[in-house]
Amino acid sequence: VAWAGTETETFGQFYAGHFADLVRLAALLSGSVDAAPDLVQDCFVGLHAHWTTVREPLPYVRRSVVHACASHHRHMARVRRQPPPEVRDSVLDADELEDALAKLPTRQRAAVVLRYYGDLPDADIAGALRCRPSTVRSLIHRALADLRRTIEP
Amino acid sequence: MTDDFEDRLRHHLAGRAAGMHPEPDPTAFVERSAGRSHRRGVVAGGVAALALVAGAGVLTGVNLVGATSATQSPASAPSTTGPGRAGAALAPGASGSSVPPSIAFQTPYTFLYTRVSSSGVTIRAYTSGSTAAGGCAPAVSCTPPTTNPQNPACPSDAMCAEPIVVPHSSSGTTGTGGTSVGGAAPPGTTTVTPVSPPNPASTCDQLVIELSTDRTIGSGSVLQPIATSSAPDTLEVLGTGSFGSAEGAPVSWVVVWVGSAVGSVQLTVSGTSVDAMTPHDGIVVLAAPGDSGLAGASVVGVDQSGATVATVPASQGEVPADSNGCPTSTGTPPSTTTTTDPAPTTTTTTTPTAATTAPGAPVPGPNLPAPASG
Repeated sequence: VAWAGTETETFGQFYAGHFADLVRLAALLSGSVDAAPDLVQDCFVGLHAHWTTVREPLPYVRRSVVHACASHHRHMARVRRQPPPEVRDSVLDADELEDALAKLPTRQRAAVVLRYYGDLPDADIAGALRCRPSTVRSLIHRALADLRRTIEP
Repeated sequence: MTDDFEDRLRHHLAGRAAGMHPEPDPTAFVERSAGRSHRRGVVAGGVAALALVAGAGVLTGVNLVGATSATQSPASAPSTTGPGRAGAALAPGASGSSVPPSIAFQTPYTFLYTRVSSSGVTIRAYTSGSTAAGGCAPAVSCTPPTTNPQNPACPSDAMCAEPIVVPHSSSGTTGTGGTSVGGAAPPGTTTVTPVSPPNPASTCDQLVIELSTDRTIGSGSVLQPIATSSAPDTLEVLGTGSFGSAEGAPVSWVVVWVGSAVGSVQLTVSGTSVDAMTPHDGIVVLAAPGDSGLAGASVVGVDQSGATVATVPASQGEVPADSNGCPTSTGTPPSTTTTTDPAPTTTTTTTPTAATTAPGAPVPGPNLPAPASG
């Protein structure tokens, strides 16, 4: 995962260089392949509005993606509560581990994805989740425990 | 510390991600950005400058137009492509302006052909429609952004840049008659290609070439002839360039436009043919390794029977450059045959729609108004 950015990137270069990675991240965070590109596009639109003032665009847009995915989760939860459930979202192919990940609380899932997909250190994950690094460790610890419990009873 | 479960989790996520192949969608971005601006009540329009940045295989052609503010100094902007390039002034923190940049996207490349030269240089050729408005002005970047006589469609407060090619790596090479980038020199050391004067037989469409060896890569672009040449014996050098000096594996290239009577084109150095190619739609790209460049090299066109049709020096398109890398000559590059066709005037639109774009035609790049910040 190419997370590194440079100070000399233009917005266009940044967009082209990071769009695909962020869509993958969004898909893993949201569990929705269909929604991920739209979520990331919105995040880039938001970044574009602040491009000249954002000092570190990658952490900025990554945090936006995490928040957008959390909002997507909340929205989908509301949709599922409303009959009839006509909306059929294309989700990632289900399997045991994916199902277990999907059942995790949003922040735990985000922490796990950012750690084990993004290979981000605690500090960066904390920046994306707006919490302390110790909280990140706690989230991941509890998430792993839940996953183990689900998959390896 | 990791265990098997964490490895399994990591492998699972990586596998999921590898199964997805999202592509940047500049059009969707523009539409969303425009929609957001509309919701905010920001008046759309006001900026008509367009620029073009080629993705060089990596990017899908996304570029910024430096239309943020007339007070923005291009000279102070960091650049990986050269002084005064569009978008270069819009790097994060490069400007104190709170107004985000307007944006323009390049049309996708159309693949022409790929070939491997006699010396093992892999050459890929593409065409790329330009979104530049107001006609073709290849040397626009050498004109102060506030006074752009060559491009009347460029507003006085915008920096209209020529179509350029984004380097694969942040480095530079040299070239003539077009732009050429490549190699692995440190950022900031890019050598900007002296751009030739507008070719009367050219449009704003670009011929983009990407070249690679096992040690280095480079790319370049030249203006594309507007139509097939009027004379069968046409043999015109559209541009030359080189790359790979930093890697110690220099390669020089030349793009040639030929007429219908030319069955093959050879690049000869000191009387020895180093590369040859059968024209593809009248376009030939030849490459030669070595640190001598194309000095003394010739391009020889032969017909089907092997008879020489025309010979021109490979350095035909070279234009002397001033200290800023801008061409000092405004004349037409020499050629054996010159076909004069007026370059079509393209129209800039703020929102691309299928109805306004003919299939296969260059798509006008959407040029966003600057969204309100905050």
